[in-house]
Amino acid sequence: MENEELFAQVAAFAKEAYKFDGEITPDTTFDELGKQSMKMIALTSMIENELDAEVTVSEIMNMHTFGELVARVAEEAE
Amino acid sequence: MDLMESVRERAKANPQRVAFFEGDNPTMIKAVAECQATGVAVCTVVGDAAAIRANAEAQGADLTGVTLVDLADAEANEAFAQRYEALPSNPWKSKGVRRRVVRPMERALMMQALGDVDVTFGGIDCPTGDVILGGQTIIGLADGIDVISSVGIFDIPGYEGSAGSLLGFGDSAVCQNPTPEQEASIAISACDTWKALTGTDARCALLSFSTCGSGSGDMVQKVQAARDLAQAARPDLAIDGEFQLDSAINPKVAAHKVKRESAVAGQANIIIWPDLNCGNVGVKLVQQFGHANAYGPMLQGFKKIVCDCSRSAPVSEVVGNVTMSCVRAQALAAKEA
Repeated sequence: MENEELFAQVAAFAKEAYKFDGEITPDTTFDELGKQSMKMIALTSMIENELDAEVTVSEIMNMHTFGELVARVAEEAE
Repeated sequence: MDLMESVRERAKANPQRVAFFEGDNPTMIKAVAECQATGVAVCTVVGDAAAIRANAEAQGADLTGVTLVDLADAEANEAFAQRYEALPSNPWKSKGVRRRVVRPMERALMMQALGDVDVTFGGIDCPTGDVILGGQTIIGLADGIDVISSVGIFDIPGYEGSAGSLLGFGDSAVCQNPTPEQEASIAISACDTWKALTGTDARCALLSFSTCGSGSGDMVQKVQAARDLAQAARPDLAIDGEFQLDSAINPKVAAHKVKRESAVAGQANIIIWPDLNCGNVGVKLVQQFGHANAYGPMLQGFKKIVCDCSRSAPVSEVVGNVTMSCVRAQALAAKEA
């Protein structure tokens, strides 16, 4: 899967999980999205269910930007 | 009868089913054996059954009456996965469910979600953060609650408060800098936990450096907002603030400083810290200077009882925590009935 396509997919999941209306870029931080763990849980479930990539909430809690998450998903989905 | 004795008697009167997921830990397996033998809980241990039995034998722990859920049993795992998949709250597709049924903590929580057990207990090897995230994912938050938090009950020698020498503290362990919504959740959960454990109604004070507007600024406003949210969400509970500690627990100070009606001022039996800095310092103060004995901290805010213990907990502390969890599960079941 191309990275741009993957980015768009993960960004769409994040918008749904976080109820976020703004634009998500690789530099968007998780502080901007909101660090609530229930939303992170929803995001990780979508990623796992749709992309078969298991990324844990604990991992996301240690990430700064959305780009880091997409890179991690790409690695897991390989 | 002291609190722990009363809790133990209540636990034995209606034993709850507890799933443990760290059966290869020496302390935990001894605690499981003691809980089962003394009748405070009906115990299930989830993991590699051969490893659990070997650990029990090495520790001299008698597992008579304890159920082992063997994660090496592929047929049983598949049957369980199919049951769990049918649960409306299941967040995963088939592959995700099957990934998790063979992981001890997640399997135990999934059993709890299905109603096979009443309590999930662990944390002696597993970090608290993992227990909280696992519980949030599989069990979920209680209705109307925004955050997982903790409450501890302290027995403070020489303290003569409205509940004798007992005083509840929340949250001294989990939520670092709660929003007003989260602080309201902590207070509500703490009231329910107090009632379950002591059998008495909670009077819950939200603490600040200010009493009824004697101070001002963002820190005070946050506590006032939390009070308003908590009172609106649960008018059946006695939650009030913002109070300084002495205004919360000392009737004479409250009479002087609180110039309005309050069911809590001066007679609080639970205090809620505005953040974890205060909570941690407060706990250390009563332990170091007041030589207080702590029950907990206990996690709260899940739909069902999920308990985490300290990684350095001895067998007696684990058994105590299991016993308190069982009494909380009894109260939850009674509330839902």
